[in-house]
Amino acid sequence: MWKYVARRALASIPVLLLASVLIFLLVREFGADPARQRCQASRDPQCLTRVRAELGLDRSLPVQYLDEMKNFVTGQWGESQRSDRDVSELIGDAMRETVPLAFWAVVVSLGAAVLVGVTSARHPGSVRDHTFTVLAFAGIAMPTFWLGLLVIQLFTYELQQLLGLSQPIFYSIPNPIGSGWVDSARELALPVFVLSVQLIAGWSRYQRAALSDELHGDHIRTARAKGLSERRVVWKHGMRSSSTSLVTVVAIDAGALIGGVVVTERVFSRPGMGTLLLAALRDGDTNVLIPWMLIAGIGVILANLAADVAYAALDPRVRLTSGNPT
Amino acid sequence: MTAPALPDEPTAAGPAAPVLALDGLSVVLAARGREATILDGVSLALTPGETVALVGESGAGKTVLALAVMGLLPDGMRVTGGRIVLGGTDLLGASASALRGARGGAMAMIFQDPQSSLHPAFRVGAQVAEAIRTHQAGVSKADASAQAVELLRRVGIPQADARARDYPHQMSGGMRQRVMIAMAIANRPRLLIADEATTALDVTVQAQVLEVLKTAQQETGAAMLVVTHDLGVVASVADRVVVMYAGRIAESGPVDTVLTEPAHPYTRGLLAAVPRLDEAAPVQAIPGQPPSPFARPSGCAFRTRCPLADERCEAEDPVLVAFGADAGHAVACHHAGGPA
Ligand SMILES: Nc1ncnc2c1ncn2[C@@H]1O[C@H](COP(=O)(O)OP(=O)(O)OP(=O)(O)O)[C@@H](O)[C@H]1O
Ligand SMILES: [Mg+2]
Repeated sequence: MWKYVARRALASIPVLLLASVLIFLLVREFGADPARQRCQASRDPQCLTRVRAELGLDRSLPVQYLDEMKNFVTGQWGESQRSDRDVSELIGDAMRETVPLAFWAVVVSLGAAVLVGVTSARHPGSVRDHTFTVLAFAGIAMPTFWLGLLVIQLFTYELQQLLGLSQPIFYSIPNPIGSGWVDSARELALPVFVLSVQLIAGWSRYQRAALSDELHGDHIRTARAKGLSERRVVWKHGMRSSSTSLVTVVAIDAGALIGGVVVTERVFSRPGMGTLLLAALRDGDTNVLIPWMLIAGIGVILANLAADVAYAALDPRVRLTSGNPT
Repeated sequence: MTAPALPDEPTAAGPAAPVLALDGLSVVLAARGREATILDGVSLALTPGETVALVGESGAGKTVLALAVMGLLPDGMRVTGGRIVLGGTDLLGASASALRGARGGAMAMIFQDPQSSLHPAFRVGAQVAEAIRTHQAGVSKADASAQAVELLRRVGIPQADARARDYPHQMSGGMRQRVMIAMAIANRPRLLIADEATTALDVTVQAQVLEVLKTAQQETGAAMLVVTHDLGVVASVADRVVVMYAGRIAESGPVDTVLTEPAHPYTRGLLAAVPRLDEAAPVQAIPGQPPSPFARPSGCAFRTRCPLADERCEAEDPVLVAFGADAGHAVACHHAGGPA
């Protein structure tokens, strides 16, 4: 198993390198020229050349790339061109906002998608199944930003008025002991919901398809012929083999999740990674953009690696037959 | 034992209570608004220790019969008539939990394809142990594992304690089928059903697995229903044979009788289709195809392929009636025993 994981990890290194080159070139090409920005107010004709030399922008692209990567790896991310704050600090603050949002969205979505998918697969063609199908297509079709605005309107305005509350409804949840958990729950409930809808919609479809294939399999018939309870047949035997395809889809969706985070944070005005990205793009803040994108790229690659590990853990055929090429 | 005078007489001791009795079992398939009769009034009884072979061409309803007994009919099929009685319990009237208790307990089934019938992600020992713990309350995990290893040893898996930790894909087809057998006999069932249990295996392995199956049956004293295409298997394991055609029993009786003096033209056709080393006669396949259950001919379902068919066969459904001198021999044919 560890051989297999190590091999997958090694295989992701070239992917990461390629991604870093692309990110570097993209940001260089489309980001604002920091030298030009600095010299905007200057009347010195030598300004551009001087600043370029100062920033090392007069060197060849490969040298600049290597320099950039060295700085990223050693943690010297420099300062934001916009606010003069340390980029590492900016990104650290943003991560503290975004990680709980993304984490809870994935947890909630996985739980809901499994429940919905399993129910549908166990009762294909039932009213519940059809209802979930319609909801899933609605969820997939609904743009996240629109859903976000709708939810904000509903919860912070309509419901508040309807119930005659003085503050948005989630802030009315009592918190007598002043627990930090309740505080975060109040804050996160709506964004997590908005971010989760599309994930639940997509993942529950996969769960349904994978499990209903599985439930028609011969080994499930064997499980039933053993006299196992239907619950054990579905949750132990059926889920074990269908979970691999859900794991794969979840990993593939890591990139989509980043997009969802950007939109959700923007709609809810949360100062996380998404908001930071939008600001950096607007300002052409290359010092923020490069580490931001490298982190996102590493995140996506780690998600895929995690999926590979999970895959191997769940399926002994993967675990035991790879690793020894003989 | 005081031997009876006539060799054809059934041995004394009176008929034992059947382990399994099917009485007029009918199964219907509903598909795209149409209904088709898959099993039509099948009656059959197995006494303890007895082995009955179920033969017939593809689509005759052999697997459906076995699955109906197990209460595992595929989606769209349902029992529309008759009774299934296992050791005195009417399975069709039984509660879901009573049925679950019987599955893998009093009755167990071995399927055709050992490739796909075991769970790919669980160790084989654990899969056998699960069968034990499902039906024997209070057996600890460790005890169940030990019993599983013992069962694997009994079905002839070498180094059973090590192989118990294998996953199915690490085993050969023959070994996997042995695991299935171990799982099936784990709770000493009174009825063992083997649906083409050796068909998917190499010829050399088939005989071994069949031997294991026979031994397992003898050790547990179970009655066994063997579904097969292979008349060689019939001759070597079965006491009685039931020939099915298009969802009905065409002929049934003691193996010796049916194989040597088949009375139904269909049975004769099946036998003529078997290549034999000791005969010069060319192998003769039955012409035509069995009817689709959605388009069953009137009268005798076999008449469209039968060399003896006449107007009566078209007009009148033959019923299964006792035939000839041998006890238990029955045939459903207007021309039973007619010119071959
Ligand atoms: N899952 C299913 N859904 C619909 N029809 C089925 C299903 N399984 C079997 N049938 C139909 O029921 C009839 C009997 O099939 P069955 O599988 O019992 O035949 P069999 O005698 O076991 O044949 P074989 O020797 O090929 O295994 C066939 O007409 C078949 O098409
Ligand atoms: Mg079959």
